[in-house]
Amino acid sequence: MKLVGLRSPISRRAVLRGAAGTAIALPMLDAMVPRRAHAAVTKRFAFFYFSCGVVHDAWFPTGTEAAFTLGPVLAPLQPLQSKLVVLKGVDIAPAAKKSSGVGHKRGMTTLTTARANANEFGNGISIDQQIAEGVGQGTKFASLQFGVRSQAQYQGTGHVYISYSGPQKPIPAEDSPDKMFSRVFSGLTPGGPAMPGAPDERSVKRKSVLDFVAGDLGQLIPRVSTGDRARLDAHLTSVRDIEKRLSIVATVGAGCQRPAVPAGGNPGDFQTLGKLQMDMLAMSFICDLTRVATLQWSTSQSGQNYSWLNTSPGHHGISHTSDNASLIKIETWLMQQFFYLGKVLDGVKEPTGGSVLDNSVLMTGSEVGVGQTHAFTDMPFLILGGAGGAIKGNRFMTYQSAAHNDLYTSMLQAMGLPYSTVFGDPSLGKGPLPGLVA
Amino acid sequence: MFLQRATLLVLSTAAGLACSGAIGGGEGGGGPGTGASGTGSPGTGTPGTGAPGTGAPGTGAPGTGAPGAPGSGVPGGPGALPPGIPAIPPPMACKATTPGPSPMRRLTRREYGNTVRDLLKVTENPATGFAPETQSLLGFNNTAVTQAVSTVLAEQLEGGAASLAALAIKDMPKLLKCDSVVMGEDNCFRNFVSDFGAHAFRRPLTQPEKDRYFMFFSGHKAKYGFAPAVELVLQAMLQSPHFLYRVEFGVAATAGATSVKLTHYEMASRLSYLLWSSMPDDALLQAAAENRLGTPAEIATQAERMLNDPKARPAIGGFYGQWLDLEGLESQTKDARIYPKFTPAMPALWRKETESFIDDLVFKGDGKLETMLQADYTFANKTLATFYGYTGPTTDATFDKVKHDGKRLGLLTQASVMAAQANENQSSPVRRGVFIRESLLCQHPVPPPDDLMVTPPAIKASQTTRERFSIHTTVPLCAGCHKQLDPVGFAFENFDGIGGYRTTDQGKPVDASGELVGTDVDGTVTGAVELSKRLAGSEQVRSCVVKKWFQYGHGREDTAEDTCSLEILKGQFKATGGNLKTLLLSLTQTPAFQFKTVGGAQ
Repeated sequence: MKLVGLRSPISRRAVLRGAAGTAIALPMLDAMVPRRAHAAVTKRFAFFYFSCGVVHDAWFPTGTEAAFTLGPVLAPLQPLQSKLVVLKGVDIAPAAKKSSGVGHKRGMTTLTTARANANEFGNGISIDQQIAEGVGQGTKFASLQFGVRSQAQYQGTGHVYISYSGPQKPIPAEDSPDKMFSRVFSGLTPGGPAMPGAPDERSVKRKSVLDFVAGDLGQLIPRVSTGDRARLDAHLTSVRDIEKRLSIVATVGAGCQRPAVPAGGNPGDFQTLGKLQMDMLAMSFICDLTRVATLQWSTSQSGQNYSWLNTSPGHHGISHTSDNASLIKIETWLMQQFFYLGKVLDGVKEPTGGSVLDNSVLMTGSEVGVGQTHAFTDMPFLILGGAGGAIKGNRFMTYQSAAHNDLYTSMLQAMGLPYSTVFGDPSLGKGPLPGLVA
Repeated sequence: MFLQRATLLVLSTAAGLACSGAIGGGEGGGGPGTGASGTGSPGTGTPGTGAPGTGAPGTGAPGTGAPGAPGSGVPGGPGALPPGIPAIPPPMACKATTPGPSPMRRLTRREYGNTVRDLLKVTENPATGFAPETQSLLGFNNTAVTQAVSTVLAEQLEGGAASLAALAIKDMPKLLKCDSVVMGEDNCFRNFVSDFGAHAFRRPLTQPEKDRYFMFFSGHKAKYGFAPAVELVLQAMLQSPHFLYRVEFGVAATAGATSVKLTHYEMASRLSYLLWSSMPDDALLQAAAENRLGTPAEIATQAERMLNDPKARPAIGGFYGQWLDLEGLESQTKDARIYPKFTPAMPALWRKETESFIDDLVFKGDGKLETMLQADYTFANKTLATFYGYTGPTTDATFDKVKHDGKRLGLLTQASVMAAQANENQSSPVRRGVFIRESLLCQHPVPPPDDLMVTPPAIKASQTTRERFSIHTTVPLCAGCHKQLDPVGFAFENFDGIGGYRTTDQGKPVDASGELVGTDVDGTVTGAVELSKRLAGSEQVRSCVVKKWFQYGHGREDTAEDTCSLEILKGQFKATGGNLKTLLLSLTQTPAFQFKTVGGAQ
């Protein structure tokens, strides 16, 4: 397929590892990238966040688990329906109701953490980070957080984060495609990356400085109070993480190309920003630079104005009116974006068979179920992609007030990371959602 | 864990009960609930019996390792204060030196930017691209305990250090302050580490630290040459915790001591980041080197000098921007169909108005809180004056003083505050009520109960905002909380969602009658002018502003141990007639500012 906005195909190995050359490529791969040699399937996870919930009638399909018709909002996903699971009856209410803050913030801080918040921030590791701990250790980045005006409002508050490395330790999304490009792709040279064993001078220097800084932190930590110690420990962990990943040489996956991102400025409009971020997210998966990502469209309680859809005023403003027609326009547009991301990943074949999408889990989520009421029930969770065969598509699964803890426990299972307990606050869930993961 | 919100009144409610009729607000339709009262601790500083001028804090000589006589000092009335800080009787609460916790503070983006500007004399500011600080429930972005360094931020700090170092080594003589050819590279480097390091870490480096940098430098010099090695050292220094954090150990504690004085260098940094949001200048470092930042008077003398430095003005302004919840002003969207006068350029003008007003008031005017709340003037350029319907300013280039027309009075009626506490298509009595409760009265309403289903109707052409909110007072479940919020917000009903003045709402006359309950200035009011005057006379508001400055200045919530410090501040603030500039001097005169708790969990 043609990848719009992508250019300069690279890598001899990429060609060899493409769909046509799988048989030849695999033995070579063994020699070149031992860390992937025995991994049957490379699984990826992305969380696609959007604000203000959905119009339930337009969102949920009609019909049964196996025979259902998508409603107007999900209609854009129809071409990928065979890889889609629509979930109904999954709630964030158990965690959200134990939380503090205004409705949207309660939802936002519990959406990915599945436990009561604290000080109006997420109070535990988020599902993406939990998955990254499992599948993100060998890649250049354990995870990447893409934002589309995700920090444009409510800066620094619990409204603007979906990713948490731990209790009240938010990971901000990067809203600038330009900065994201230089962070993720600048080291990726056309023609293929440097081979292992020959790290470049810049990396050597960075490693040396980081090591020195880590030493400084290490010397200071025992001398400070326990509260300060915890924060310096986290800082040290971050520095060590950068250092560790410097020695990981990116292994370019099949179909890996440098995304086309305009150097210098960033486009002002939401649509273009979103497209650039999605292209980079997709490529970071395809190139195997990371296996976990979040894509955050705006903030919780979003004031984003979708003026090109002829809706007004902002999203949150509309969500407290009865103007469902405008809300449906916005939600449909968001699902067109979700489809685009899925489609790009579905267009790249994997050496182990199937497409990148077939081996991935792309998940949607919002901080409230319904904008008007702030209901924390019947949340708009979707799963697109098969997690390497662990999740069967073309299903409309209905549960009875299941806690989203259980959905995430299922996702860990699907990602090949069996979880001995319930994700998030264990007291809120029962275990994996029945029938979801094969 | 840290930031507990106090409430006196918490509603319990049955599931499913509805408070319908509320309109979608920033709080998502329902708006926060209880207007708790009383957390502002109206100034209760009963004068003590001690004579002013006695009981200066510890007499040791910090920095030299001598014990600082912790616990023995009763601050509040040191004898030799510079003029301006009134000597008040030591408050009853000041029986011992209890400084409260002092968590290590990481430089905010603003502080980082100012610090590298002053340290490296460069204009590049990488901090503009750093992840925003998390905002604590105190409403400030500098609360120490909530600032964690994620991998993302660590990478940004690394990138920032790298770009600054690359820039700095372009002019080696300026950076090194020595000639590596004449002096020899190693000696010149040693000079540089001592001198530059003392500025970067805001204290002299220890010999082991210097040796460690020299080792690091030598290894890299052998590999890459002199300048690249210096560049790497710079990168390391700019990522050092001693640069990024304000590390404080205090003077050596005597056995059993619970608090110690700060060293002179630590005091230099406390002063500079409080008053300049930047590193100490040479005069401060010099004073620290000469052990001249130990006594309250020495500290006050420096503070006074610093307040008269232009660097103080944007730094002090930084507090007000956060206190007034104006940080997100520019990202506010307003519905152009409802507000045709709104343009995307307006929020920046609103902000500039408030900044100019406060800057003028604090640094050129009488500096009084009372005046801030009831000034009959503001600042505007031509465009903003037109927005207000005022005449006078003939250019957009400057903001000049303009007289109000009698419909507005003081800070609270400025468009910035009114528009920030409003929705995109309507005013928000609930948000405005919450704002007054939280920011001016230091009371913390809690959000509506979990099970409250908010089903707001669309805006109706026939109903005023006030009428649509009437359900809050007619349904008992809602009324419990909202009677403390809405009537405060109603007083601002003459101001629409962009802070424009109006006399009608949906074609009906505006009813701006309101009421204050649970405060020290209770009673009915009509309109924002009367409300502003009422609040200007409130002891509770004065105490709240003191508390907010304390929280911002110390980067933490106040604790029980801070009672003495807060009483000193309140007493001095009152004695100066509520002078906001002198309050900053007073902030440097408390146990919380001059002492540090020894060890322990903080």
